[in-house]
Order: sequence, then C-alpha cells, then structure tokens
Amino acid sequence: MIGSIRARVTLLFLLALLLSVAVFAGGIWIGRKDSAYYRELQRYVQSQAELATRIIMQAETRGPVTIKRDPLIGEQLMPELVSAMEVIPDYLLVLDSTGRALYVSEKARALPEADLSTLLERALDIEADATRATLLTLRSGQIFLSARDEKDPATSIERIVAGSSTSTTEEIWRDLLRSMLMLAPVVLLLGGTAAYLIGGVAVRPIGSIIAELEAITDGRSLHRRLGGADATGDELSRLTSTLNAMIGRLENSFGGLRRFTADASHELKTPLTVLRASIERAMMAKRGSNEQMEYLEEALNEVTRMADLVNSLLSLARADEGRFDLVRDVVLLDAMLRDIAETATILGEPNGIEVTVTGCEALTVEGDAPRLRQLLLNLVENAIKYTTVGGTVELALSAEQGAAVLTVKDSGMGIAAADLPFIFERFWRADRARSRKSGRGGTGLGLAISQYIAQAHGGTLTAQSRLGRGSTFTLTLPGAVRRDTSRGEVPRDGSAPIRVA
Amino acid sequence: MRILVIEDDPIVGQFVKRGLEEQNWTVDLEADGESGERAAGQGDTYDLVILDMRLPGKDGLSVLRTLRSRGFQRPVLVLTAQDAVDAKVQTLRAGADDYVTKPFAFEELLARIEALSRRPRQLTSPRLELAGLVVDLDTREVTRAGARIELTPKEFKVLEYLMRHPGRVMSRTLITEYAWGYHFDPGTNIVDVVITHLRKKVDANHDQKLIGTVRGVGYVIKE
Repeated sequence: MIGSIRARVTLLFLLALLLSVAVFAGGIWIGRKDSAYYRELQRYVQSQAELATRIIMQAETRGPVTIKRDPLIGEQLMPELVSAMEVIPDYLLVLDSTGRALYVSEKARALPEADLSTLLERALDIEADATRATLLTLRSGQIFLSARDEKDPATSIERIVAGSSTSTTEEIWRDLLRSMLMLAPVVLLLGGTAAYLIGGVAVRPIGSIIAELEAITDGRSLHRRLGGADATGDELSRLTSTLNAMIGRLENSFGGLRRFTADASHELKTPLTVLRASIERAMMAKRGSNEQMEYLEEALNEVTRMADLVNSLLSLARADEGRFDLVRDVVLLDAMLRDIAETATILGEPNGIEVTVTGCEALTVEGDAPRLRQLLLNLVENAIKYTTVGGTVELALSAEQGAAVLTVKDSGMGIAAADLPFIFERFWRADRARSRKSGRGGTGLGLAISQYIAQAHGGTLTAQSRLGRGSTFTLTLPGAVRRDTSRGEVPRDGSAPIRVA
Repeated sequence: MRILVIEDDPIVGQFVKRGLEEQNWTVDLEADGESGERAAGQGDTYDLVILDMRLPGKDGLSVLRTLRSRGFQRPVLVLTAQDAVDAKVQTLRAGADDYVTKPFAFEELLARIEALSRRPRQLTSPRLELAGLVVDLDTREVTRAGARIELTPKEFKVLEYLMRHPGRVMSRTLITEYAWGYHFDPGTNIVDVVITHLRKKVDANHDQKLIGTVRGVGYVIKE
C-alpha cells in the first residue's frame, strides 16, 4: 500500500500539513511579543504610571505628601495618599532619590523577596520615558515597567514606577496554542482524508491505463490503442498519446518481424529446397564413386542442419511475436515416452549409459505431438550428451494434481548454479570443453525452443542441477487425463493425425 | 497413377518429376499457376496434384481455390515454405489434403503421396522380401529363412527403409530422417548403433550377410 502513488501523496501531504501547523504555531508563539496584546499592555502600564504621577501631583497641591514616622525607616507616603494610590491594583513603586521605596503596592509586596529586590534595583535604572515601557524579567515572570520622574524639590519623591505582569497575556497565547494543538489531529485527519480521496481521483486514470496496457500482451494485440487520449492536453492524455505512439512503433517493428519471418521462410528455404533436391538427385544417380557419395552425404547432412537452424530461428521469431501456435490433438504421453526412451537407449549405448523408465502412467494431454516429441528428444539428447561413460539416465511420467509431470534425470556433469538461470536462453551452451567430443554441438537453441513449447502448452519446463551430481529436467503439462489401458490399441509413437477444424 | 506437379523452380520440379517417375508413375510438370490450373482442369486426367504455394502469376492458394470451386475432387498435396500453423491451416481450409514443408526429403513426399492416393507404390507391397528376409509392413513381423526376428520400433524402421531400396546405398542422414522424423539431428551416428543391432539379429546366424557398410556414407542391403 505504501508503494502506491496514492499512499505516498497522502503521506507527503500529511507531512506538509503537519509542518505548516507547526510553523504556524511556532510563528504565533515567537511573534506574540509584537502583538497588539503586548502593545496594549505597554500602554496600560504607561497610563498607570501617568495616573500615579497625577495622583501624587494632585496631593502635593494640598500639602506635604510624605511623613517621617520613624527615623530608622525614614520618610513614607502620607496615609491618605497611600489609600489613594491603592486604587492602582498592579505594581507601583514610589522611590526617593536614593532609590529607597516610599511606597510599594500590595501586589509588589506579594512578590518573592529576590524578585522584589531585583524590581527595586532595576526601578531606578530604567529610562523615564512616557512613550515606552521596559520589560523586566523576574524569576516569577515578566513585568512591563514604566517610570516617571517627579522633579518637585519640595518633596523627596524622585521617581514613580508602575508595572504590570505579562502573565495574563501569556495565558491568552497559551490557550490559543493549546486549542491549536488540540485541533491539529482533526485538521490532519481531515487533510489526510482529502489528500487520499484527491490522490485516488488523480491516480484512477493511471490504473485504467495499466489495465489496458496489461491487455496488450503480444504481437497479436499490438493493433490496440489506449483510450483517453483527449484534447485536454493534461499529463494523462499526454502520457496516453506517448504510450500509443510507442505501441505504434512496436507494432511497426513487430510487423517488420512478421514480414521478415514470412520472407525468410521463402528466401532461406527455397534455396535449401533446391540444394536438397540437387543432392538427393545426385545420390540417386546409379553412377558415381564412393568418394562422391561421401561428399554428397556430408552436404546433405549440412543442408538438413541448416534447415533445422532456419526452422528454429523462425520458431523463435514467431514465439517473440506471441505466435507460437500449436496443432492440438490428444497426445498419448506414455507411448511417446516409450518411443523417446528407445531413442535415448540407442543414443546412450556407445558410452555405456543405462537408460531406464522409472515410471510411466497411462496419461493423455491435449497438445501438439510433434512439438512435444521435439522437446523430449531435445531433453534426452542433452541428458546423454552431458552424461559421462557408464552413467544413467532416468525417464519418468506421472500425474500430479491434474498435470502430467515428465522428468529426465541424468547422472551427468550437472550445471553450475551460476549457469542454471541462463540455460533456457538462446545460444547458451555449457562449457564446450566439458561436453564429450563426439559429434558437434547443437544449435544452442534447443532448450530455448523447448521452453517455448512447454509454455505454449500452458506448462512449465524447469531444471534442477548440482555440479558433478547430474541434472533433472521437469516438464509439467496441465490437463492430464488418465487413460483406461484395459482396452484399445495404443499407437506406437504417440502421435495422432493432425485434426483441423 | 498420373500426377501433375505445379512447381516453378526447375531443379525442384525435375527432382520431384524424376523421383516420382522412378516409382513408375506418369508425371507432368507445369511451371506457373495459370498453366497448372488449365492442365489440372481437363477432366479426370490426374489422380493427384502436387502444388507449390509460391508461384509466378497466380499463386498456389488461388490455384487451389479455383480448382476446388470447379469441382476438382482429387487429392492436392501442397508444398510450402511456411511452417507457421496458421499458414498450414489456411491451405488446408482452402482445400488441400496435406502439405509438405520445404525443404523436404523426397522420401517424405513419397510417404505423403502414398498416404493420399491410398495406392501403394510398387515397392511398398505389404511384404518386402530379399534373400529369405521378409519384412511384413502390415503385421510388422520380420522373418529370415522362416525364423522370427524380434525388432524394436526403430530397428524395424531402419530395416524397412533399407528393404524399400534394395541394392541402393542409403545415407545416414536419409535413414535418420526416415526413422526419427525430419527434424532430428543428434549429431551422433545413431544409425550405426541400430545397424549393429540389426546385424546381430538379421545377419549373425547366416553365412550370407545382407547388410553392407559404405564407409563415410551409409548402409546398403543387398544379396
């Protein structure tokens, strides 16, 4: 599922959404100090400082504002003024020129000892400016401070400092962030669902293109074209027309191959026919020396080899095109196996190779008898060729789950594990030095054609092998039927006449 | 039996003509579609027509269709270079009785003609006989001087082939083709092994040896 474009689009979209939410929240959090809330708080602090200053100035017009109750403590604000000042609920300090506090509001007194002394120290340092507030960081939080200087020489009051904690404002931002975080999963869920649905809509035409392409399997279906190439010119219709153009080129080259196959049949086989006819005529002639006959026999042998090679190449060309056709009829596999076994015995005799049929059930399949015979002959030929003197070759035919299973097992040199995947490839040959010297090698097309024959029957041809221990080739053909052997004659070679509808 | 061969290649045409004449059949050769069609169309002159598919002028398939549409009912054997199944099916549907794929062995052509005409050629009487060796093609029994000889199927095929051409040297390639079909080339002298068996079974107990070897060529059966 993660492999599909749809899933990846959804995942990427979710990641992008998550990143956006995080950046948004972070931005809000970092930018909060520049926000209107903070500016409002600063104005509020300034106005509080202004208010306190006005109250004190008002009081000064009516008489002294400080009293000295205790010589140790020094001067303090008049009790009337103190009560007037308590209207201001936030932090408020009234200092004399030495920085000693004449008045400390109740809220400021509630601060921890360390914070209060920091506040008192900093209160003298900050700039007395009516237009801005100063942010002071204490352990218990941050406070905006605004200071006013009272320059009346009649009193000892030097400076009035008002302050307000940012905690309320911070709380607002925390609430905002919290609700954002709580909403985030919902947003992500909705976003993800939307992305999945949109991805599905976007990918659906690709799915149908894949299905259509899969239906074009071989040379026969290449005339088909994909639907959906419309005038919209979007990516999908461009993809469709590109693929259609490619299928067109494939069709052309397959057409070329088909023409070549047909032409080659005539152009290569006609001279071979003439050649063969000439040789056979010469051989039939009553006169002529043994030496001449020997040359003619050599030539005839070469012509037949060449004709076989041409046939093999044409078969493979047709197979590439998906036209490996069969003439199907009932094939008696057991009779065919016995016939093959006799040939294998004869082939193995010069090298003392013992050929045995270890099992032979009476089975029939619907198949092309000459082609299956060609396949089996190829297998036994190989088995004998790669088996050392005195070895064994075992043939067996059995039914397994409705399929006929034919095995050709040899005690030969085997195939290296590294070579095993390539033996069904065209022109593949085992290390020639290891194959026996007798005779010449085949065309190297035998196993490739054998596999096409197996596949054209809907079956498989596989090989198991261990170097030095021998190989086993297994042909599996579907649709095997067990034959009643109690009556009826069995044709000797397993072939039946060609039936044409 | 009278046979018409419609084949444009003179070498192949003459080869077929002479080969068939050796079977004591009367053979006429035509080199193109139109003249072949005219010749075949004259009543019941011919018992069998051998028709090449690729002909100058009118091609073999058209000739075949014309002959059949005119009511020509004798067997037609087609020579074709195409061995694709659909091409073969096409010729059979057009009315051919059988086909031989080029390049063909003469023996294969002969076997097909024999099967189509249902008239055994002179050499293929059901019994082949030579110096007391009898090969019965019907019962597949082999006897020499009355004594029964048991042969395997391939041994029988090879002996049958030699017996069909007594006195003539048959090459290994031709024997292999006859006994194993026309697309089997094991690259080893498989025929030699079978001949060894045959000699043991046929010649071993007799002073007169019938099976002879021609070095580098093949084998001959003669008195």
